[in-house]
Amino acid sequence: MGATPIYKWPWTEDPIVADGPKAIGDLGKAIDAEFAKTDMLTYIPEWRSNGAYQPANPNVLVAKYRVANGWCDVHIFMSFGSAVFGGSGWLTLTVPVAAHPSLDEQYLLCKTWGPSMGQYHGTAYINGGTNLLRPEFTRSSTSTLLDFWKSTDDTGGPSKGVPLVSGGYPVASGNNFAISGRFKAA
Amino acid sequence: MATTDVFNWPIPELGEAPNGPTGIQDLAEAIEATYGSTAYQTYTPTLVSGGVAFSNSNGTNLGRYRIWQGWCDLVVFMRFGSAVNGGTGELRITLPVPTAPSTAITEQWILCRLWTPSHGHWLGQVYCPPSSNQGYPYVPRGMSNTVNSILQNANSSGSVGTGYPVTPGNKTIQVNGVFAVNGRYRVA
Repeated sequence: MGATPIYKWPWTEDPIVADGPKAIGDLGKAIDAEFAKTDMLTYIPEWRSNGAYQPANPNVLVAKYRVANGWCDVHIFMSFGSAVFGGSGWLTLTVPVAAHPSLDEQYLLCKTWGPSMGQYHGTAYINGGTNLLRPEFTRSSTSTLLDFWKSTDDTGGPSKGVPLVSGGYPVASGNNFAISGRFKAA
Repeated sequence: MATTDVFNWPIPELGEAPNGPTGIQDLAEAIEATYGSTAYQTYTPTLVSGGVAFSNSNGTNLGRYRIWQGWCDLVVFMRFGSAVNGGTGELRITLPVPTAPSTAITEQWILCRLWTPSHGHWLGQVYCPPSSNQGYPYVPRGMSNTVNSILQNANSSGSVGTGYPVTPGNKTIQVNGVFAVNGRYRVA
């Protein structure tokens, strides 16, 4: 029995067994199963910052992805409980495969929400050839300009984050964060 | 050897030399090559203006796309060079020519992002009209104005501070600025 190089679909080899219909049937079923796949893979993104203190302890961190035909669909969801620490500096997350090197930047959609903060939408960009996502949100409720997502700066004080939460932090208990998108992979 | 109508996969015909296994192998590998393909197409995107023409002759104008099963996956990255002329009037981004957004859907929207060195980053959306190969990038009107308008370097006066987003003291399309698009729209 031979098999195709990528998906290992079966085809008969000489000396042929006298059961052509079954051989064609096996091939057809293998192709059918491949085309019908809806599976997503799971991975654990690395949540980091470029500041003096690294973020830690999200209550939930779920990431799913699928790579097909040179594109990566990825979805990340994080929610924060009382143990969360937002670190300092710009926050980043990793994707499971690198972005295509010929494109300097690609963008995914992201959002963050909190009961007192409200909902902000933003983008997360990936530089070509890397697997690092850099989420950005509008700086405050009165600004349309984007800046890198951060809970605070190296002083650790409140009211230093992006988006700005007056007297608090955007990475805080009860808040959450999500990314959904599709990018050209390497 | 006959072939299928769309993807030209090989299929045996009566009268050919009897070699069933090879015929099945060839068909299987052809289907696999189509299904597993990571091939993409390239094109050179540009911005089309309603007034004085846009040009970015010494900048970066990269377009990558794949049309598959009725969808177009699109990535555009433009960095404005030292000779950029953002033109006047509303700007539209060219979409890949082989096929256009579906006529079955009134409005489709994909993500865009603008970087102006003088003022910063903005998030926007590109409206992809049915049957059109030009998309309309909508961006906030200003730094504290969340209403969206079509991207504009300057209005018909050509003066600084008259584009969208408004960048006081500057036109909106600036040297080293970036305009990027990411998204997926239905084409069939």
